[in-house]
Amino acid sequence: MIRHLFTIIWNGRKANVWILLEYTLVFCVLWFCIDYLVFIVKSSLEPAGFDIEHVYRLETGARNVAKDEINNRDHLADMLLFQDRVLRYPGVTSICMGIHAFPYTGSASWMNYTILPDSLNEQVRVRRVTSGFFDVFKIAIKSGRVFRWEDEAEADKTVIGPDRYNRFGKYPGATLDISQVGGILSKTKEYSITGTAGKVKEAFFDPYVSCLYVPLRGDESLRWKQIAIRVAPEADRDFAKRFMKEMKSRLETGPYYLSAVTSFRDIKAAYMEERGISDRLNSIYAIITFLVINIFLGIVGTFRYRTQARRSEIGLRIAMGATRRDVRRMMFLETLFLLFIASIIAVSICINIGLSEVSGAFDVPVGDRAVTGSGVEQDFLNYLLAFLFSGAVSLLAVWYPTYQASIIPPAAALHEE
Amino acid sequence: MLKIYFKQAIEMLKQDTFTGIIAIVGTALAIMMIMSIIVVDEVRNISVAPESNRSHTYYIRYQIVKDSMWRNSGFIEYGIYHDYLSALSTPEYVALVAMNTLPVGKEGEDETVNAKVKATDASFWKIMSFSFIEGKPYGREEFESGVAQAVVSDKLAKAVFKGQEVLGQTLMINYVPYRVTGIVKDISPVFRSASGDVWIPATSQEGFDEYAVLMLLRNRSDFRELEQEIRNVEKKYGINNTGKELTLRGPDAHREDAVSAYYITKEEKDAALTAQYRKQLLIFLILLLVPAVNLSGLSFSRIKKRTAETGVRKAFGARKHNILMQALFENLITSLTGGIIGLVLSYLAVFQLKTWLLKIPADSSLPGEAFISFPVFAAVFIACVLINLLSAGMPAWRASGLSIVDSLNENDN
Repeated sequence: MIRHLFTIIWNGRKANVWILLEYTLVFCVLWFCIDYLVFIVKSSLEPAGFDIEHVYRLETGARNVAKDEINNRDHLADMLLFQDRVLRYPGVTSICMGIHAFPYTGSASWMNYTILPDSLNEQVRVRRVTSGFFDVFKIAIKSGRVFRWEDEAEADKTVIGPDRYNRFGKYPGATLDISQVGGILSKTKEYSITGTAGKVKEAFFDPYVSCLYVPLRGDESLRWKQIAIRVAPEADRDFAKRFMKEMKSRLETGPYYLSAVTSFRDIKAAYMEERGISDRLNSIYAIITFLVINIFLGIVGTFRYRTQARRSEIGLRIAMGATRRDVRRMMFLETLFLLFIASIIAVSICINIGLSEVSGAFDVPVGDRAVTGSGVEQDFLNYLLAFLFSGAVSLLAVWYPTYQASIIPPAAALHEE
Repeated sequence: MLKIYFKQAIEMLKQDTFTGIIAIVGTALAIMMIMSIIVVDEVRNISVAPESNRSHTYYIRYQIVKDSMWRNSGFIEYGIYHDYLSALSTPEYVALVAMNTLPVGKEGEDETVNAKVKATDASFWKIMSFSFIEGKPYGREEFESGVAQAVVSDKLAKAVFKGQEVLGQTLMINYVPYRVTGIVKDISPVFRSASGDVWIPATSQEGFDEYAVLMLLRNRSDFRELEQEIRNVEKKYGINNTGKELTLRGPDAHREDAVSAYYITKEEKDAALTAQYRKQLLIFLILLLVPAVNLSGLSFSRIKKRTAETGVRKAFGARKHNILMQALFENLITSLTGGIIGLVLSYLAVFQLKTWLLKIPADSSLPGEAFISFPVFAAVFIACVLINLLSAGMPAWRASGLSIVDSLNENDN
């Protein structure tokens, strides 16, 4: 059967060369599109480690006053007063503040620390937060407890979080298991560990990075602090608008005022936009649509011509006892066989391109495999998906020409000979 | 002669409508995608009011200040503009722009709307060409003394004052009273530097720290001089501030400024731009090659059908290039038909998908000049000719090369 197919394809090689070329081209482009889509789907299926449902971000503005007037305020008192007022609002279950701490904001801070007991000197992500951070974003505490941020005596306590492989240290390639960390030294302080948290990502398409949570103190103006609240699900209806309207005047604290209430869902969407993720996804959808229509047109066109050119051959087959189903099956198999040959050529091109990192020079989006922790199995998955997808489109396209071919009356076809 | 080719092409289309339609749809799709990219590029870069000087405007948006301990990077600080960049001698004008979203409302009322407030200097109005409905912009003296005057867009004026007289009224911007001195027509957000709801002198309010500096050159040939002057500014800063080092990104031309890539130094910029151009080229290549290969199969069969006819023409003295040109010209008619359909579709696509393609809100307007312009039409024509050559070139070449006997016998092996 396969030999027979080979013969048929070889006999029509002149027309088949174009289809083969097109399939190879399309398969290559499809491969990279699928590679990126798989990366996005895979990373969005993995838990981010934090929960942003029913979470809102509050932003504050400062009235036009002299800089000194703001700098000389008691910032800790401002924080406590603001927190206290927000928590009185019905439906608000917890509040937190942070600096370089919140997901989907793009603001991050990294510092060099000495990690005890081995005195490893590594760059680690640091989040300065109030204790409420773990409640608002529902970050799991795996062992120990969270520090009390407002307690002066706990200013040098810290909670640490691991990377994908439950290790702590630089990204990528941390080596120390999180349970072995004995303490953290910064230039000015020695932090002792009160607990460990679950692994978190910055955004779902970012890697799990180990991180240090340290108590946020009143060192800077309320204006520069990230503020978020968690709302009880039953209270989360039209919340942002309601809260803004009812709390705007009640939250005036010195020169500060409430300037915006935004749900983290919207913040996530905006961040995907800003990081170019939705852009890339849209481009990929556009390219896939373009390819699908092209495969479709190409296959319909060529096979239509071919069935016309091979009318007598098909007539002969039917006259010699082949059923109409046999004729159809033959043409379906012919298409798939062509696709298969093309896919083998394409896959060797794609894997080589992937290995050579040429994609960087073309600014083509590539899913970072270290982020999802995947390896060669991704290549198989890409191949399978690309083959299934282009196969399905081809079969759909070849359906009409084969239908036409199979209804050729054998007598009429043979007459042409 | 062309008339005959044309008639023949129409006749061919009638005979085999199905293949013709496939060829036209294939071309239209490719042209639509290519033209969407080109039209978007044109919208981003065309010099049209209010940013009618884009071709002569250069930008500096980022600065880095380094000392032995710290490396602070960010947008341009007011001090750098005031002490150094505002005194540049090469540009005709040097302007300053920053944007914040601030609460804006009527005096004595609690209700506010969040508005995009641009803090600028007086030269901003020289580089941009706004159309004023009423009033005028603030000038140099108002900027230097930090007078609280504001220019507002028509849309914002209507939203806040609800049909009342606006000029001369007091507008509260971030709870500070401003006098409205001008009302301008609404600006589409595709004009990144110009657009906004309210414009105020940068000296009239605290809190704007992220500036961009725009420089308008008299001649583009002054660029080298400008670049040299900027590098001298960095040196001068180093002399005035011992132990500190200033790096300014740019000056960037408008096209470079519109590229969304992270870079600071000239080398990084070149690398980022090269990658972008390569990507663009790769995309165009895919968009041209896939349909070309696709249509090659079709034109191969179309031309093959007429081998006998070619033989007859040759027998009556047609030369090789006659046959070739005829095949290509006939095919070009299909390509151009597809091209025109594709162009119209690309306009629809850009209008429909502007939030994605241009990053602007769905209700914003687009400058019509970017759609109907010489570069756009030239690009369509070139793309059509390319697709035509790529898809029909090979088959036509083969058909024209056959001997008379082989052609008459339809023997093309």
